[in-house]
Amino acid sequence: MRRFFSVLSAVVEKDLRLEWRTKESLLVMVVFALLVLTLFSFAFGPGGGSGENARSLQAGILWVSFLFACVIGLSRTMGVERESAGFSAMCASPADPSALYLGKVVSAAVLMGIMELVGFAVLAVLYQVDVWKSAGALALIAISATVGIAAAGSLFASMSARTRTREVLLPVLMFPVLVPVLIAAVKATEAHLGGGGWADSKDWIRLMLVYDVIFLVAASLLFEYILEE
Amino acid sequence: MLEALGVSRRYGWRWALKNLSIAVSPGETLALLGKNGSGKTTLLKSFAGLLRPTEGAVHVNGEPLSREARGRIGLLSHEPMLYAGLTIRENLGYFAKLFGMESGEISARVRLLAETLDIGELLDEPVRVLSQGLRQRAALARSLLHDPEVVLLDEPFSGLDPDAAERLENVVRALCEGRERIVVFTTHDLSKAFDMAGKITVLAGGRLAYERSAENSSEEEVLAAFDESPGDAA
Repeated sequence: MRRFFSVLSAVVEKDLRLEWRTKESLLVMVVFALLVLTLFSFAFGPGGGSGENARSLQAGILWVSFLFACVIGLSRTMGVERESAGFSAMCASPADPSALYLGKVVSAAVLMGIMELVGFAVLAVLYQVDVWKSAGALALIAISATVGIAAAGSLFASMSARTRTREVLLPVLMFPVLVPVLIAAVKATEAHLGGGGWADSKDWIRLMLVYDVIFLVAASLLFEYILEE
Repeated sequence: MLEALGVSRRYGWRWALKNLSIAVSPGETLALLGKNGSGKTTLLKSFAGLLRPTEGAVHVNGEPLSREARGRIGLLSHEPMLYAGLTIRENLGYFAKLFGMESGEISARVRLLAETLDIGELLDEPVRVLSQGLRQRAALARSLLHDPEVVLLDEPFSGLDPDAAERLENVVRALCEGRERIVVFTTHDLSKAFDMAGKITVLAGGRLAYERSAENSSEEEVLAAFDESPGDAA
């Protein structure tokens, strides 16, 4: 077990160190999310629209911008593995493929988490949403959704990284699989932004947690085959 | 003992290897020769576990190639398998952890390899600033980090200037002469193959076209095997 966590932490440390040096993925993710949120704030007017659908729209815009930004970020981080033949090196090592995969998921989730923090701040300013009121609930929703997106995204980004059409293939593979997480994240976020409470969001959060567990387990078992050429 | 037992590998409809059986004993150095596309790299990758044979199996010490067994194999591939944004030391530290090495062990081993390969002063340089020769040395350090029983070298001397090639050749020679290690290397350079290997093997069309000890081989025979057409491998 110690070896498992040593490999996992080595992957996370390596990914974050590379990102810290280049800031290639994070910067692009944050800028993209900011652009989408800003553009939609203009489209819907000051405060991001009004009426009973406003919160629903805001939650949708928020998570769609996060999802698109994640695709760009994941594509870039897996591009580094491809350019460095990192997957081959992983495959040639005796390291547990599950630990390698979970390491990739954790590092992707950390980058996404930073991007989401900025995204929520922008939501609060441009859409005049009081995110502090339900910060705990939104954090839980964000964590549940982020783990799901990172789990599916890391798997599909690894799969598509060695293909010629990777930029196109990744969203095509990833989006249909992430539909449950996206719907659940939007619905749960909408419940809390609209003044609802746990009663409206708890089932959606449960759905995301179940999805996370299923995807993490299944992808951990599959990752060995993805590493092979 | 490193064995390929009836190994075949297909890419789409093309067979890169066809029913290839080969065995390398501890202490033996094998030179794999052949034209481009003859299956040398595919065989090396199959030995390293990067490719799963379509048919047949790879065995290490009589056991099918398991994940644990990969810890006894070191691979120097065409690609350096190093992260350009990390320093040599960071790269080696990362790969050492993948191979289950402990922190104390890692620093001692990195020091030793850096000294052997003369890259001690470059350990804290990012890989992206290194020349091809230095990258190749750093990549060799990565592949020898865990002191493997089996060393697989895919065209280790290609793209190097004569000085760098000679330096690398000395390191590989020391590897061959050291402990009972298995060394398999691919090359297009016949003189290097005869100079360094105990056994010469030629692949043609994914099949074994020639296999003999270096002592009992001649360059003419080897060159003739290059052009041998061992049936349609496709």
